Amino acid sequence: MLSRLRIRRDIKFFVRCLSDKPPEHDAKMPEVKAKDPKDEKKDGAESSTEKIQALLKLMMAEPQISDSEYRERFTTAPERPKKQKPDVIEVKMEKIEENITKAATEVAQAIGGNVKQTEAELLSRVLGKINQTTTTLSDLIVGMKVDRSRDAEETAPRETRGQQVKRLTEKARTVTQRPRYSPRQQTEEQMPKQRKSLAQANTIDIFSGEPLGIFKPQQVNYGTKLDVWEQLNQRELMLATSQPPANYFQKMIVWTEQGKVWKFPIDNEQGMEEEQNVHFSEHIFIDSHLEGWCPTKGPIRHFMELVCVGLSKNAFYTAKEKFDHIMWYKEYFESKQDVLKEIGVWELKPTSGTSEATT
Amino acid sequence: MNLNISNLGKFIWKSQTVPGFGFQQVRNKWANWLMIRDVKRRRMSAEHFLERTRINALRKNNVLPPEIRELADKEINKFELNATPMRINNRCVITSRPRGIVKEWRMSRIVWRHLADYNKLSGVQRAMWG
Repeated sequence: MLSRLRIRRDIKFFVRCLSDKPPEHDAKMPEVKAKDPKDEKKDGAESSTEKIQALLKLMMAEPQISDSEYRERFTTAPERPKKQKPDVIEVKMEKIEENITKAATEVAQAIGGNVKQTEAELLSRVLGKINQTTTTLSDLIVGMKVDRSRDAEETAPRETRGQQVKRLTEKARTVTQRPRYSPRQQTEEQMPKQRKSLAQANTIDIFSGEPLGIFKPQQVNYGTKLDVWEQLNQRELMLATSQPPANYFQKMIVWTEQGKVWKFPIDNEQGMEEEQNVHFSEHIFIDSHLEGWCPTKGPIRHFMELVCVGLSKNAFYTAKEKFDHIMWYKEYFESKQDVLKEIGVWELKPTSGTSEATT
Repeated sequence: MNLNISNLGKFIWKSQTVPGFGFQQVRNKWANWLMIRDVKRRRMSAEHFLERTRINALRKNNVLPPEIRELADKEINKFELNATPMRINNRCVITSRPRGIVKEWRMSRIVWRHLADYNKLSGVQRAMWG
C-alpha cells in the first residue's frame, strides 16, 4: 500500500517538474497540516509547564537595567509614604536580631559556663526557629519588642485640605506666571518631595485652618468692565437655558416676540405705534424749524422752503426724522459760512438779505 | 461697518491665532461671490443713504448758487463707490441669477416657476384661458 502511495507521489512530483505551469498549491501543505494538530496534542501539557518555568526563571533573573536608569527612561510612580495602620505593630528585623542577641548573651551569662557556646547554641536555635515557616506568629513575637520609633519622630504635621488647596492654587498661579518653556527638571525633582498624603478623615478641625480668601473682593481687575466678555457670557447663558421650539406654536411665539409675525387685523404701521400720538400739524407745518438760523430771503431760503414742502408731503418719515433733516441742513450751511458770506447769501440779519440773481 | 462676510474670511486666513489658519474654508449663506458683493453694496448704500440724498439735493436744483453746488459735487465724491445705490444689482435671491428676475418676488424665473408649481407663492396660479 505504502509503495503505491510513494509511486503516486513520485509521479506527481515528476509531472510537476515537467509541466510548465506552476503548481496550483504546494503539495507539502496538507502534510504539514496533518502534522501540526498531532504535535500539539502530544506536546501540549509538556510545553505549557516548560513555558511557565521559563517565565519564572526570567522573573527570578536580575534586571538588565539598573534601577536609576529605569527611572530615568520610564516614568515610574512616585514614592508615596505609605499609611501605617495603627492596629498592626511594625516589626523591624534588625531590632529583633539585636534583641535576640542581647537576650542570648544575658541568658548565657546568667547560666554561666561557656558563655560563647551557650550563646551560639541559643542563637542558632532561635534564629533557626524564625527561619522556619511553620512557626506561628505568637512564637515569633514572644521575644520581640514593639517598634514605636515612628510615633516619636512625627513627620511634618499633616496638612489639612484647605492648606492643600491653597498650595495647589499658589502653584497654579506661579506656573502661569513663569515662562512656558523654562527648564522643568528642577520642578520635577521638587514635585515628588512635596507631595504628601491627604489628611485622614478621622478628625477634621474646621475652625483651626487658615481661610482661603476666595470670597474677599480682590483688587485685581476690580472695577474694570469687560463688555464683550459679559455679552458673550449672557449669550452663553441664553443659549444654555433656552431650548429650541418644540412645536409650531412656540416658533410663532418666538417670531411675534421678534416682530416678524404680522398681527391680525393687518396694520401697515405695525412697528410704529408711537407715531400715532404725534399730531399731523407737526408733519405739515415745518417752517417753524427754519426760524432763527435761515435767512428770510435769498436762494437758501428758497431751497429750504422747497425742502419743507417735500417733507410735508412725505408720509413715511416720522416727525423727528423731518426735524433731523432740517437740522442737518442748518449744520451744513453753518459749516460753509465763509463761502456763503463771500457770495453774499448768508447774512445773519434777516432784513438785509441782498442776494444774487437766481439762475 | 460690521460686515461678517469679508472680515471673517480674512480673519481666519491670515490671523495665526485661529486654528483654521491658511486652511479653513470660509462658509457663507450666499450663493455667489457676486451675491456677496451685491449684499455689501446694499448695506453700504443703506448706511450712507440719508447723507448722500441730502448732498445730492444740494446738487440737483437750480435754486442754490453754483458755488454751493460745486461744493456739493466735491463732497459727494468723497463717499465710497459702493455707497451709490446705482451699483445695486437685482439678482435672484436664491440662485444669484442676474437676468430673468421676477421683481416682486426677487427670484429668477426658474426658481419662481418651481415654487409656483409647488404652490408656495401666494395667489399664483397656472394661467389657463380660452
